Amino acid sequence: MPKLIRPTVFATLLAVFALLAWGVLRGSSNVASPLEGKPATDFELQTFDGRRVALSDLRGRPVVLNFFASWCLACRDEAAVLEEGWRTYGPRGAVFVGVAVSDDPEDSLAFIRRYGKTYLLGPDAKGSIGLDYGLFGVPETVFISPDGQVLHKAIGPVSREQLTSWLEPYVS
Amino acid sequence: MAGALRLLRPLRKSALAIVLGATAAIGMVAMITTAGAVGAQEHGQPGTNPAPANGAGGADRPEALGAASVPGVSGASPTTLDPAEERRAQALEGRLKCPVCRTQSVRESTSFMALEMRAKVRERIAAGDTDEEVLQFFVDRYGDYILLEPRKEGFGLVAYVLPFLAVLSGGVLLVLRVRRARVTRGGPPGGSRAWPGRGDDPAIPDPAALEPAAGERLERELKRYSV
Repeated sequence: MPKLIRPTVFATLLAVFALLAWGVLRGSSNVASPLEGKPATDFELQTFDGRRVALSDLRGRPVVLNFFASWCLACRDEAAVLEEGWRTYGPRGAVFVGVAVSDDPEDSLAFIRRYGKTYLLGPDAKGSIGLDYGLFGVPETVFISPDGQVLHKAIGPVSREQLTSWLEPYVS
Repeated sequence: MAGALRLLRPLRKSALAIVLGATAAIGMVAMITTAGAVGAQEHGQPGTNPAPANGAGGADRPEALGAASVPGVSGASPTTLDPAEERRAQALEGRLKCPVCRTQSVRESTSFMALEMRAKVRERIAAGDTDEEVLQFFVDRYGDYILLEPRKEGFGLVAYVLPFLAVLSGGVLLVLRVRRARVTRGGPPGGSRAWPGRGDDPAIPDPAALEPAAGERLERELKRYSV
């Protein structure tokens, strides 16, 4: 029995460390969200250019829903990727929606102009869209399938590769 | 090689303990720092971002990002609750984790997400939700992660059971160690035989056959242990 103690302690500590290492190294840009596979909550957005958009009106088209803020450094990094994605996949049926979170509208508009964003962009005026999509911070991006299911959620800046892999199966 | 290993043998236990301890410490430190870095850099957590152009400061200074300057927060009209509902709201806010700062409750945190969550808690209470329904609203969107105290069911039970298992294992280990130490000091296992004397044990050489200094030392040691 005593002979088993040392290997048991060693194996336990090794298992604990392996668990810690896995938690540290697995990366955080693609985490499982309880929303994945569930119907996307409907929302209405008043865009900065005065249009009114409801998610339910976009049924039948894949939707990239991005949360951003002008004060967020990582949002600046991903701005070009999103605009490029919109220009590539917009003509093929995809919809890109940008929701400004906890941001002054003037700053949001300056940010939009600076990075040449042209897709649907508006403020989360009541703060409820962010909460409904389990927002931890910005940027975060949710991919909603044409039938209104949340398929993916990226925490942190979304990459070209992610947009491609999400959208290709659903665009013409 | 074998000689070197034999020389290192007494150090094995302590070396193993040092290596495991250092590894665990490095793992802990890496986990803490990486979690911070992930939040701060990859996720664009407001605390490390430059102040907004309007001078409101980062969202780690939400007093500066107050209702007047934050559309997301200011848009949510404050819900008026009676004193009993207010107490419920505060208790529930204490049970929810701030998704931005992660180490504070929604009640303690002043981040922009915490402000919005507080508004939502009040809105749900005013709409007639029970405490469980309010918590479930957030669990449905964030997972169990959002609860400061894991639920006492399913995988959450691990958090409650593990400490007791650890104490139990430690106790068993201690008892085994103490028993082993007592056996070693009290004589050979079983207690029916005496320790081997000189001449009985081929591992004990005859001091006379050794170099004088080594022989004297061996003699001293053998006397010390009454062999």
